[in-house]
Amino acid sequence: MRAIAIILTIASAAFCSIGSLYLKKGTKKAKKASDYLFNKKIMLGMSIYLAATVLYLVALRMEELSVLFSISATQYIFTAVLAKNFEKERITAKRWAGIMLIIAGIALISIS
Amino acid sequence: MEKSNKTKAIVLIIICTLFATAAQPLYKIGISRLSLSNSIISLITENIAVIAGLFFYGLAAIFLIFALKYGELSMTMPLMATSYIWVFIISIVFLHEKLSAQKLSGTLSIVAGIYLIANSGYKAENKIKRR
Repeated sequence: MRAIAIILTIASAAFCSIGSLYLKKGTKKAKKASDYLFNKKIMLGMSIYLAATVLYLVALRMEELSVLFSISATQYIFTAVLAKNFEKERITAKRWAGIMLIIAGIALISIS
Repeated sequence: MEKSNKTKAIVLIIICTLFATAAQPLYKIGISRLSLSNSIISLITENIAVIAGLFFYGLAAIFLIFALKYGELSMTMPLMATSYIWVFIISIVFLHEKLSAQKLSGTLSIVAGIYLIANSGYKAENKIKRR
């Protein structure tokens, strides 16, 4: 049960970052309000986000919040990897350090 | 230009986290005492917390989308962790929860991480703009 909950949480974190990538792509050429409302990429991004939330809620029924909370923070790593590969963003050492500090902080808070 | 876009993204994401942080307890309290009335007015008044929660989540999503428009993905998303700082402040100031060394160091670590991320990567942003 625990292993399944952890796998679901990692999947949820990955979904979350894929969702945000699509949101980012959707906003690129959008200018008018209607560009945002009738935007396939934004809709897809939102749906993936929703799927991520459902996966996380299912996982929460199986395992304690504290463990899963820390694991879900790994979404920032996924996001950085996706941003580097699909958005050609440069992830500087400073940014990686910031991401690691945030993950460590979330782990500290949730395990206490 | 690049710099102001980044500032915009940071401001937008901070507003987003404020709404998301407010939405969570409203939604949770609301959904736990959800009432199904047959009149529309009492349906709204009795479930005002859950409606407000969903409304705030919607606002948070709108601010997130605009933040992503102006900011890099790898900067904007980690800044969402600002919500943990709000939760920390709320739990100490309003809920009078006990302040543990672990909670404090965790929150400080998040603050340091956010500071680093908010001060990183102008170069990459310029590169994207030029393409």
